[in-house]
Parts: sequence; C-alpha cells; structure tokens
Amino acid sequence: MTTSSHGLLRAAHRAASLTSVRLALFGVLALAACWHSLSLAGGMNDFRDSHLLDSYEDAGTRSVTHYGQLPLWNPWSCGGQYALGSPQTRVFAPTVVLSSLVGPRRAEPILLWAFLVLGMEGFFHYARRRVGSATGALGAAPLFGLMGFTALSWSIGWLNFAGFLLLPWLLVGTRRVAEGKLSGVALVGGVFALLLSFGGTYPVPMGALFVALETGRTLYGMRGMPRRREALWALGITACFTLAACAFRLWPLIETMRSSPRVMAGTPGNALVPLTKMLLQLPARSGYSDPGNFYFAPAALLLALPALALARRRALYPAVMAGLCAWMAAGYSATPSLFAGLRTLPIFETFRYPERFLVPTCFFLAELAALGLAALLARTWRAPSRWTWAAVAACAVAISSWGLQLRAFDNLSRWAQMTAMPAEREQPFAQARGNRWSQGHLLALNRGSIACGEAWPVPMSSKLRGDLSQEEYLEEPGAGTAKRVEWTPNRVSIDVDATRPTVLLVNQNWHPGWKSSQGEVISRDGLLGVRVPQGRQQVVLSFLPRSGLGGTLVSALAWAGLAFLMWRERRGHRLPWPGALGVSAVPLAVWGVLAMAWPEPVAKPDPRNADGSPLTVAALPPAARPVNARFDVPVELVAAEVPAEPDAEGITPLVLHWRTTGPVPRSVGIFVHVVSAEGQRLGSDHPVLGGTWFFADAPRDTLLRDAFSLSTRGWRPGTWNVLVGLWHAGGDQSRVDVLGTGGAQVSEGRVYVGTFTVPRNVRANESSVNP
Amino acid sequence: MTMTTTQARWRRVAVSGWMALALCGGVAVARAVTSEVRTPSRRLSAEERVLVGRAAAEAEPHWRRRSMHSFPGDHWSQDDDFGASERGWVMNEARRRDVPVTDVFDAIDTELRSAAPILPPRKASASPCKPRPFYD
Repeated sequence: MTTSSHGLLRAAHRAASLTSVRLALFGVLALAACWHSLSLAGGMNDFRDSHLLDSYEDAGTRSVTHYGQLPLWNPWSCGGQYALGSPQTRVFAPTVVLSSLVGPRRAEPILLWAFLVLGMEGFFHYARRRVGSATGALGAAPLFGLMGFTALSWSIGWLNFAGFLLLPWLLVGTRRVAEGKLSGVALVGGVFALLLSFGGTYPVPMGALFVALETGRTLYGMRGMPRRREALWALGITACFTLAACAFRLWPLIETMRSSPRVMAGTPGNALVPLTKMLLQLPARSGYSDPGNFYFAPAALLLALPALALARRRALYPAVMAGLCAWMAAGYSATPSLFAGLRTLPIFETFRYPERFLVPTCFFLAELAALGLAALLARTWRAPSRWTWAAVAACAVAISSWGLQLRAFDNLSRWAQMTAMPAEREQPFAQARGNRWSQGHLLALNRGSIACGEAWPVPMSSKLRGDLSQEEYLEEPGAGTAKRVEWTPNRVSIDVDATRPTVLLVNQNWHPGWKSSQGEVISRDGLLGVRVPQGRQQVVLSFLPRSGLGGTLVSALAWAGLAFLMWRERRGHRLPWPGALGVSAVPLAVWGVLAMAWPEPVAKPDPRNADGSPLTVAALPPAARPVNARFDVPVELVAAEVPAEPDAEGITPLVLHWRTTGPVPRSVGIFVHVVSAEGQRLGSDHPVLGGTWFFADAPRDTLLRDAFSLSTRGWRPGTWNVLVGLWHAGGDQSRVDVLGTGGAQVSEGRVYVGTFTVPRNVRANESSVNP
Repeated sequence: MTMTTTQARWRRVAVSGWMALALCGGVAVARAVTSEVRTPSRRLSAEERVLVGRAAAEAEPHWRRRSMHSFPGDHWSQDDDFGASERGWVMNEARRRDVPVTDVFDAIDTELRSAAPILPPRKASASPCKPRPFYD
C-alpha cells in the first residue's frame, strides 16, 4: 500500500510538474469546454452587446486586412471614434492578428480556448507557490479556469472579460517582483498591457487591486528589512515599467475619459440567496438568468474543509479574501457596503456590477481547494494507511467538480444567440442611421452606424446624418464642390474647388488627432471640418493622434529599457536598484516631454442635459421663476421653469436652476414629486444633474440648468403641483432639510416650484419628434 | 551522461504532452474555421427591397412617438428605444421572408437615402451617446 501510494503520488507530482503534460490536460479540458462555442464560430452573435463589441473587432480587422492600416480610427461606430481611446475595444491587442487571419468572429472561440488554457496554467503557477504542491495546484486549476463567468462572457459578446483569467499571472508576477526578479517585472507589465489592450474595463482595475493586496501579503511574509527594501525597489521599477508599457493604451484612454467622463450612479446590490445561486447553482441550458452566471462547482467547496482544518494558517488569506470578495459582490445589499466604499475611489467609481467580484471569489475558493488537496496529499505521503482513502476521495471530488464545471460551461455557451454571418457588400463607405442593436449587419454593408449604444458618452456630433448622398461636402453648398478621391479609415482625400474660403465637412466626428494637408482642422458642432482657402486643392485628412503614436513610442521604450536591464543581468552586470529605477523611469520622462512638446488641441467636456441643451447657463432666462431655496448641504435651488401645460404631444419639459457653493456629499440627489389636486403623486427623481454630474462634481458658484421632461399621457386631467427636494439617494435615502426659501412654500422637505395643467384631451402632433 | 529508462519514459511523456496540446489547438482552429451557421435560402429582390424600405418608413413615426413617451426629454434613450423597435421589426421581416437580416437593413438604408432629406417625424440623424447614469 505504502509503496503503491508513494509511487502514484510521485508519478502524479512528476506529471503535474511537466509543463507539456499539464498544458495538454488543460488543452483537452478547454477544448471540451469550448466545443459548442467552436461549432458556432461560423455565425454572428446576435446579442446586443456583441453587436457593439464584436463590431469593434470587425472594424479593426477591416482596417488591417482591407486597408493595410493600424486600427487607430473606427469610422463604422458612433459616427467615428478613436479606437485606442475606447475602453472596450481590443483592436490593439496581439489577438487582432488571429482575427485578421481567420476573421474576427471565427477567432473568438479560438481565443476563448487559448485564454482558458492560459488561465488554468496561470492558476497552477500561482497555487503551486502558495500551497507547495504541484498535484494540488493541478487539481484546482480547472476550478478557476472553467468558472462560469467566462462562458457567459463569450455567450453575450464580452470576450474582453476573458482577461480575468490572467489574474493569476499578475499575482505570480508580483511575487516574482518581490523576490527581485526582472521576469516578474516583465510579467506584471506585460499582462497589464495585454489586459488594457484587450478591453479589460473590469479586469484591469480589479487586477490592480489584487496586485496591491498580493504585494502586501508578500511583503508581510518576508523576513528582514534588507529583503523588504529590495522588494520595494523592484516594486518601484515595476510600477514605472507597467505605466510606460501601458502608455500606448493608457494615454488615449485618459485623454478620452477626461473629455467624456462616465457617470455611474445607482445602488446595485445582490442579496445573499441570489448571490449564492449565481455562484453555486448549475446554470440552465437556455435563456438569460442570473443563477449560475459565475458557476463554481459546489462539490469543490468540500476541498476547502481539509484546508481549513489541516492548514489553517495558509488557508487564512484565501478564506478571508473569498469572504471579502463575496461581501463586495453583495454591493449595496450588504450593510455596511464594502462596494460603496470601493466606489469612492477614482476609476472604481464607474463600477456598475458588484457581482463581478464573484470572479475573485472563485479564484480564492480554488486556492482553498488547492490547499485542501495539497494538505491531504502531504498527509498521505507521511501516513498512507490513515490518509490514502481521504486523498482518493478528494481527488474524486476535484475531478467530478471539473465535470460539473464543464457541464455548466457548456450550458452557458448555449445561451449565445447565433445568426448567419452577414453577406458582405462592397460599396463606398458612408454613414447610415444604423442600429446599435444590430450593428454587425451594418458593417457588412460598409456602413457606419451613427446610432450608438456605448456604455460611456462617446463624443459625437448631433450633425451626423445617415441619409447623405456624399459624405464629404462644403458647409455652404454654393461655395464650390468637394469630391472624394480616396477613403480609408485613417486617411481621407478630397478634391475641393472653392469659389471662396469655406469649410469642408466630413460626415464623421471630430477628434484632435485629425490633421489636414491643407487648411485648419476644426470641430463644427463636433463634426470633422477643415477651413479651406479659395481655389482648387486636394485636402488629405490623416488621423495621427498624439496619444496613440506617442504612447506607442513610450511603450516601446519601456520594453527596450527592460530588455537592457535583463541583458545586463544575464551578463552578470546587474545594475544597482537606483540605476535600474532610473532606466525604467526614462520612458515616463519621455512621455512627459512628448505631452508638452507635441501640441494638439484638447477635446473638452461639453456637459449637456439629456435633451441636448447646455447644462450651465450664464444667467437665468426671463421665464424662470425664482425659488431661492437653500438646503442643509451647500446647494441652492435658484429658480424653476414649469410650463402652464404640456406640449402638443403631452410632454411637459421642466427646468430647475441649481447652484452649489461648497462640497456636497456624493450621495445627494434630486427628488421631484408631481402631485395632483386629488393627492395622486408621480415622480421624476434623478440623482445626477442632467445625467452628467453629481452635485459633488458640479462646478461651484455656477448656474446649473437641470432639464428633464414628463410624459403626461394617461394622466388625470387637472392641475399638478411640482415639488422638489434633495435626498441622500446613494446613501441612507433620507431627505435633506430645507433651511430657508425666498418665500416659496415648503412641505415635508419639498419646495413648491410651479403648477401645470393637464388638458382633457392631449393632442397628437407627430412632427414634434426631435430632428 | 546516459539517460535512464525512467528519464527516457518521462521524456516521451513530455513530447506526447506537447503533441497533444498542439493537437487540441489544431482541432480548435479546424473546428472554428470549418463551422457554418445556416444562411437564409433567398435574398431580397430589388422590388422587395423597395417594399420593405417603405414599410419600415411607414412604421417609423409610430415607433418614434412611443419612444418619446417612454423616455420624455431624453433624446439618446428615445433613439435607442426606436432602434430596439426597428430591430424587432427587421428580425421579424427577415424571418418571415427567409432572407438575411442584412438585406432588410440594406433596404432601410437605401430608402433613407432615396427619401433624403429625412424630416420629422422621421429622423436620419442620431443623438449623441449619453448612457443613463444608473440601471438598477
């Protein structure tokens, strides 16, 4: 028994330690998981998010294969957008090569397969170091690699979320960095760069969070100050290198987000039971539902028990982390809410779905499972007669858990709604009105979709049109002619014959990266324009964005610097830490110089209400009725505009003029009660001014024009009073006291701002649709 | 130094592992490259395109009005809601006629250009993207 147990354990250990054998196992498991997805590769995912996100990849691939250009500008989406500055694109990831070779849709399940293998291998490396057993790590790796969320992500077109599978590589790299290894620097910087380029809107910030925690854990576990000091030097180098290695993507993203910040309000939360179902219930084979979205085989939780019983000290960190992540995943349903705390931090403030923290929950549960297996196997080695059957049972549980997760993965893959690949039609590019819910079909027609459904406010012109006979035209039709000579995504040539100085307009969005061979590039209400002089000329517009090109140079320098450091190390002339830090800081200095020396116009935010009107005004309009209500936070309701009755369509436009004079808690939002003479109450609460600013972020001592509307269709005819107040919408939901008014009526913390009358018959006038 | 039998055996295992991994990758690529999803049996004829384009144009004012009341004063949400209505109609039309969805969108695009400039209650422009600040 002893001999056979030892022999078996030795063979298992040896096999688990062999990279090729391990990868072959992961390859087979990944193939089984992706089998259904691979069989659908010839179709197009018809889910709405897939139409948006996969179209980015389609557009990027088109730029490469049809025009031989880098996918810098994407003219097919939202009237034209900066592909590198759009957070969810993955067109600058190395994976675009595969997309170009086999087509973007067919590449997706192949990439899914590759990410699964990478995820399992990464987890193996992480867990082997943490639990000290190759076999234990091997047994738990598929538990993380085959978690349900990856399958769900593929099914609905969120392949960029496969980046979560690289989380263990980040942690492995962090540990290597702390040990003073330059390979760790390359790993951390490289993985972050890959994640950013792959559209990792959640994997990157969450990865950064767990890298910070892993750093603390590693530093805490180190003995002696000299080692810790060395680790800190190495971590400094890693920070510099990672920033610079990501510059090609980070710079465009920062630039874009500064000009178009995303506002995320609301208090999303998940109660314990739904959260548990998301994690542990086998998902259904069809339809979209929450249970099983983040499936982790419940049987594998049994493996955590020996970890907690036999290796308490090592189990402490993953157990605590799994608990914290689950707490985070509960969002605002938990009291106190850890997620609410996280949202006070920059970048994390835009997180919408707390349940995505179930991904790291799976990760740490898998670590516990690895530890449980390792503990049992170690005891089997020492006392086979007592522990062999327990170890055999644990291995059986692990393998059956793989089976369960494969089953769940397959079920979730079947949620994908596939439709036939659209037939390509070769025709000159033009913007169409399009449809963001079916954008993939428009691309096949070489049509851009100006209907845009991004998760952030893409800078767009309201002048874009989808019915033009020519995409490039002169602003004044009588000022001459404009004729397209050449069109590619990043370069457009137009022959212009102008009888007087005029403006050439291109039916695409303006971006500061556009440069012209003639005249000055301008933004005409957000539309791309060029001031052209009188006469015949060829205007060549080229998209050469400073942030993309400059950022790529900085990233290239970062890799060159790291290669130099590694070369020195290989030759036995390792640079001292301060010198190495200096080398890794050079690209950042170059970044600073480029930012200062390479002038480019700056796209500024243009804050507007949902109806397109400006969010700030210099003075009150004559129609505004003074209110002058002050609240128990530094906010003043200056005036209001309430029409006497709804418009011909039954829409009542309301305007509130606010002013902030000091710091306002982020939780403060507006409530609007509309009360009939009979006491019926309807509402139009909104925690964000004009859908753009929290009071906390709004400019101070400025008149803020908050415009919104009510549809009175079906309302009881008669008079309706409008009452307005403030409440802690994102907090305890209590009302903010009204301190005083300039004579306006106050009741229950609400200020009366006006009355309108709903007539007996609301007239219908279809011409009132916004143009 | 000569290789022992055990070492030789593990070496063979390692080589087999690489081959198995390559085989898995190869199978994945082959399956992805050769898979097909059924395409509709026919395409829209030129006459049908005109009819489909007109039908969508006729339905548009109704969808627009509904969107206006669903999202009063919110132009992007109105357009987005209109897009959802249009998509539903397009999918039904494509299914009913057993033609590609792309053909139906092409018909709508062609009609919009032929009827240009599009005026209210129809619309050929789009409101700048302004996603709602919360969804819970």
